[in-house]
Amino acid sequence: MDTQEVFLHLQSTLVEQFELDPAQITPNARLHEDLDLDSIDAVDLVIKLQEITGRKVSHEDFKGVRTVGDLQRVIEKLLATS
Amino acid sequence: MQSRRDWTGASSAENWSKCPGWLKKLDYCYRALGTGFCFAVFGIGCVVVGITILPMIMLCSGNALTRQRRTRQLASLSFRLLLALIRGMGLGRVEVEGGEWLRSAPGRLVLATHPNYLDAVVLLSLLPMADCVIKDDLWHNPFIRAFVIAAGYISNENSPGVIETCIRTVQNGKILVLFPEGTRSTPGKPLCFKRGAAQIAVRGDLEILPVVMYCAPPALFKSSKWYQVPERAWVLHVKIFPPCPISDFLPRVPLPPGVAVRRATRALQNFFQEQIAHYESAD
Repeated sequence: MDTQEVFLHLQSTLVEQFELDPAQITPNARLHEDLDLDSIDAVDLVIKLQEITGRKVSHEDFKGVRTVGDLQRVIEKLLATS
Repeated sequence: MQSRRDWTGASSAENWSKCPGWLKKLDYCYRALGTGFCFAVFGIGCVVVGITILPMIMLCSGNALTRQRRTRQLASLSFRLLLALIRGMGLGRVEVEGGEWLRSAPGRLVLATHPNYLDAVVLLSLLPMADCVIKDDLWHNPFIRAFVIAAGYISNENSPGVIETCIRTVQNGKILVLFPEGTRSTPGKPLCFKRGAAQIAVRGDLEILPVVMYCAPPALFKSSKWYQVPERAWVLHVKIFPPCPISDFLPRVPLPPGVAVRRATRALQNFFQEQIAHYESAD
């Protein structure tokens, strides 16, 4: 998956899982403040990303993630280490 | 004394409007001072009970469950006395409708609106054995802290663990009381529910017991001071609805949990808002 594909995948996941408007999901959008995701949504999201990347991910991998762009970089890194 | 009570606690709004202005002013001062007195009784009561009866419960209760039960009984009794005092002084009264549904509260999630300080007092006097989630800042209030810990209430530090604790509490057949707004509402403003209540109800697939509380005229609400009493004695309406599964608030199609929680939050908020609107239009 290239960068664009990862972003589109992430975007569609966020839209499906949390009823968000695709237009809201930009690399700079903050997960908590702008997209109104809470800590329980984060748990759901990690499970979903596990399915997408096909590997076990831990909450540790998501330390310091604040924006959609941060999340995208984490996924890319996980995919690259496969 | 009897005539005063007729004009305040037991009087209708029409009778009240006929009263001369100076009498209203006198009544207002009486109720402001009376409210201050009740606050003082509550505060001093907390301290006195906290250094006498509470330590006895702590020492004489063999295990945590006995301690919790006794503390909750004590709190419930104190709240009933406080409400009786408030009513006896003609400051305001509580009217309960649908009280028979309270018997079905065990194993269900009690969701209630939060118009003022007293609604929690009323709910815990009606449901002495209920568990409730207490705001972080109340844990820091030394008056209340000792009771909250001894009663074994749940703190709302924002983490997924609290949601699981709450779900388990209800699934174990206990009563859990939650205010979906998270804080007291502002009179006249639309309700604004946080997602926590729906997180618990949807993820635990629980049944809920809705309790609509409405205070007319608004008293002791957020941002009001104790001496700012309403123009006449208040009535806190408490209406308990029959229990229903949270799935009644959701479409019959499978949804991702995040979506289900958001839809249930909106549906619950609309339900409570409609009930409040009935009271507002009757005012």
